Amino acid sequence: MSKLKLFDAEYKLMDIVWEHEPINSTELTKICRQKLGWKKSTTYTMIRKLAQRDILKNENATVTALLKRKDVQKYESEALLEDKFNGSLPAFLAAFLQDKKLSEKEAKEIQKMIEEATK
Amino acid sequence: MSKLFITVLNMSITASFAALIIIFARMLLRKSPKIFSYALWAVVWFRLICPVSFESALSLLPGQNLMFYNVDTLANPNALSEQYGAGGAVKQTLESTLTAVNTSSNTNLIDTAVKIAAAVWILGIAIILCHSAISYLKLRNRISAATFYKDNIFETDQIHTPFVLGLMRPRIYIPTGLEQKELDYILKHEQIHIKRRDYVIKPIAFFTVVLHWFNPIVWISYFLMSKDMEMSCDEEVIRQSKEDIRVSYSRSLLSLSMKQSGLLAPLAFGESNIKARIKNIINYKKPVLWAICPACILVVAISMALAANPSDKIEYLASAEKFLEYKTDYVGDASKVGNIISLLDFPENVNYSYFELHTENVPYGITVHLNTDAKTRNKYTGTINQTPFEKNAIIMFSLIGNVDYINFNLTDGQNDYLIQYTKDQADAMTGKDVREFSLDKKTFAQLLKIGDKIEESFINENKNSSITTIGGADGPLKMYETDKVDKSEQIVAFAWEVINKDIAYYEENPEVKIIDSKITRLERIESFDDLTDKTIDVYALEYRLLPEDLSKVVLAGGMDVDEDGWLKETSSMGSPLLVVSRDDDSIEFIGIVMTGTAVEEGSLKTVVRELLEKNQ
Repeated sequence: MSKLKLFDAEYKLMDIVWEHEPINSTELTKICRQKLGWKKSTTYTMIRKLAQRDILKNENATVTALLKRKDVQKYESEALLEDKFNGSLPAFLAAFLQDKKLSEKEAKEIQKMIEEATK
Repeated sequence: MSKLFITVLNMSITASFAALIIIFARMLLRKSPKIFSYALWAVVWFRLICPVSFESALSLLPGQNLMFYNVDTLANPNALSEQYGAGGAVKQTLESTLTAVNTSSNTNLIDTAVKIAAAVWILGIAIILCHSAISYLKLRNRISAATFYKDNIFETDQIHTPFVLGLMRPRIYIPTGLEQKELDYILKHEQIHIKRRDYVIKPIAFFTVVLHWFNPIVWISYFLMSKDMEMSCDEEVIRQSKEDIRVSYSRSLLSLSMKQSGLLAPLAFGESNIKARIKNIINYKKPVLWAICPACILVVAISMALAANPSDKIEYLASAEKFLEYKTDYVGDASKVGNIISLLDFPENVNYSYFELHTENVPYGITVHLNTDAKTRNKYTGTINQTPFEKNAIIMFSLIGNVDYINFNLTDGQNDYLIQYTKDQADAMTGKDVREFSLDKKTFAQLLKIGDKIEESFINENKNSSITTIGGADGPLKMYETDKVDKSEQIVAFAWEVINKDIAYYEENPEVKIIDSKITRLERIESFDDLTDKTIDVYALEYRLLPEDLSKVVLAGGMDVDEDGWLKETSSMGSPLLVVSRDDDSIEFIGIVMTGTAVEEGSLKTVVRELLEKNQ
């Protein structure tokens, strides 16, 4: 399994970490209880697992992320592209844009991105 | 353990009949809302869990004689030979396979077979429970990190199909990434499960199946019940929705259909049976009242009829009818007498051979010749054991006009033992002219029932007395290790024979009534190997008799009363000692000697030898 592949529950925890880091682990369990309905032990188990995979670190009861949200998102979208669209970006975009209207602002943003990427 | 196993086996058989009828009833209810089919299963589960029920003549279940009727007869092979009439299916089949084996090992073989079966049964339960526990823990582990969605709903990407889990606070678990519309249906479906307490019913049903794992009909019932449960739940979702969602609901069901693995499948939305469920959904029409009523009545009627035990009344009436066919005023009517005798039930190992009429002179009599083995014959030599013959005598006196006495002659081919009953005895036992019972079918059925009841209560009493004696604090019954328990029961029976004689002696005075009796000591005190070719055992017997009114009892010399007003066994000659001869496979009551005599003679052995000589 790739280091960057996060399960739903792991991603949700990381979401909280990214938002609040650096965060006290006790504090984190409280947020997880409230937002995810997790028991304290569940949160700690999850922290330990992710720490083992170097996705976050837990030092002196302070949790910080070792991965950026952007990295994970990049990995996820690449995996999706590879999995479902044989790595073809146009095929992905075609599927994505089907039955969808882009606003002018969104279209401009995308255009800008494409220009930057092809430079 | 064997006893528990037999109870479960009995429940399993009864429930199987109920299940088969319900599988048939489900076909009739095919077009009705599935809630009715689902409700029908309740009675099967009642039958699988609850060993007792009420009696009704309207019961759809077959008579008890088709089942392992008496638990004790199997769990305690000794009671089996005492038990009479209440034959069990297992007993019969086992016996027919064992006919070649000699009778004394017969009961032991049944006992061993039951023990082995019980062990296999427990092992099976243990294996299935272990497997389920592991699957359950695995599942729990998978959903441990499920995240809160809303209310009692949690989502996780570790599962592929939604389900409800938990007994106290059930939670709905859903896979991540469901479409909103699908999610609505699923939640509706699962919430109906929760509202109906299906999340409790399913585990109960599952553990019941585990208990009855050896019965394929129970497994079939479990799967059919689960199917009916899901289908009625689907129907409820559709019924509650304002629009016609049949097609889109079916589509959601299909998209989530995943084969469930593991036995303890929780309540899942996309369970198996998808094809049948979709068909059911598409064909579903909102039920109308006139269609529901008959279904309702059918469900209630079938449930009641299957929950009730068959009333024995019918059986008794049927056998009363048969007996009354041969009612005769004359003992000389050999064909009718013969037919009556052939209808009688004789105890285990006792077989009717032929009969003899004594009609030359008054008193007229009948002798019924019965074949048996030495062990069984010895067993019935104590008056305490003779109830089965008593009952048969009463039946015969009631049906045969001018007969004055009836003999039952038990023979093992070498020695005979005669049990005699007179008409007066029969009248006394029933409390009126025994002929009156044969006036009509109903009354005669009553007589048959009373006969069985007396016998049952007698067997129970006898059992209790032997238990208290063997475990008694005053002195447990000490036996050789090679001895089997049934011998100790025979000795108890001998003891009761002696006690009953004593009771009869007291009750010769019509004002005295003995209302209770108990053995306080029955212990082997001596054993002689050199007196005869068999071993002679001497048992000390102490007992207590409770007179209704102690003041009416004339206490002769040496008689004694204890502090609670019970008469002791002692007389001027001391206490009785039972003398018994035994070898490896039989035990015989020789007689009693008194402790007083033994003291006078100065040697117990001398007294016993004298008794043996006198008996020869």
